[in-house]
Amino acid sequence: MQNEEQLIAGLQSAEKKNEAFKQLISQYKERLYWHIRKMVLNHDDADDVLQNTFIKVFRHMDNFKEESKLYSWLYRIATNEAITFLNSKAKQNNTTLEKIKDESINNLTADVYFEGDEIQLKLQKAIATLPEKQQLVFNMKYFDDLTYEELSEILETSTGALKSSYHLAVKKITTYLSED
Amino acid sequence: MNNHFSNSKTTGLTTPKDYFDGMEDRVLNQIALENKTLKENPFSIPDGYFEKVEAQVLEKIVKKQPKVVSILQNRMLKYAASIAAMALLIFTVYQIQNNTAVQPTIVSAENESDFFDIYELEEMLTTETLDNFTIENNLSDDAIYEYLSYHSDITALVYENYEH
Repeated sequence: MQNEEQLIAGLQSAEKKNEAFKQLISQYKERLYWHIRKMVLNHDDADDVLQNTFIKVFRHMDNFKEESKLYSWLYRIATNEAITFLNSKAKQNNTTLEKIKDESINNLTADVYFEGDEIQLKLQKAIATLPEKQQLVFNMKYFDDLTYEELSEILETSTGALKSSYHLAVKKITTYLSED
Repeated sequence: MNNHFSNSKTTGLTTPKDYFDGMEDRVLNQIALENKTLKENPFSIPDGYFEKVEAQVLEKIVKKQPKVVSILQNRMLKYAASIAAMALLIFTVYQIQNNTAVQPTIVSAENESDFFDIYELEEMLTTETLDNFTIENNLSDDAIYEYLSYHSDITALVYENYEH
């Protein structure tokens, strides 16, 4: 497993680009997949978005300025691709983003790739009631255990704002979970 | 709330509004979510899914970079075309000398635009514009125009609509 510096050097060299890119996919595919999956909920959609993400990364490799960490940059592209995907799905079906997400939530029980029990399903429903950015903050902090500093780099938001966002999300979720 | 612990008056340090009041709820809420089941990932994936990702992505990247090859890029074809054009020119000139039926005309500025020049033809054939693309041949523009004007099929087409 290459360290970030070696990987970036490979990606920006003409001869090593393809091999380095393959390495990059191997190293980051799982983390990015699960991040995307939590946003789109459905496996097939997550697969599409993951592939689009890597294609975009390949095309824009020269735009990576190394001002941020590689992982933050990748995470950001994945997030944007997921949002673009959901918006485009809403547009295609002549509906809103909220309705698309509601539909995805309602489809979870029938989804063969959702193995959660009742309380886990309720948690997903609770998360879906949050504003988009709050959902991101909550998912990344709660499930992925990212630190506020890491979140700050990815979401380009201050740690203070992120902490407020997270606490608000937690409050709403616990309220939702305690209701019938 | 005054108490005997340090407060902002003694330390100069302050806290956000309602910081202490909201403390219990914040902590309790977080504890409520510190539940093993809740933190478990409820999503699953098809068997062997991750093993296929690299190959699928790489395949798509290769597909999205199609190579468009113009027929005129083929050097062999260029040379062959030049030779064919020259051969035809020589042959036609020979024909003209032995055949007074076709009247040669000097190509004037007016009817130059009636002919497709080889560059317009190229634009029609390629699906992408080729920067810095030139056709290398030994024919001068005059020779080409002359050839075209002597070629009976093209001149017949031209003369159909050309008013003398």
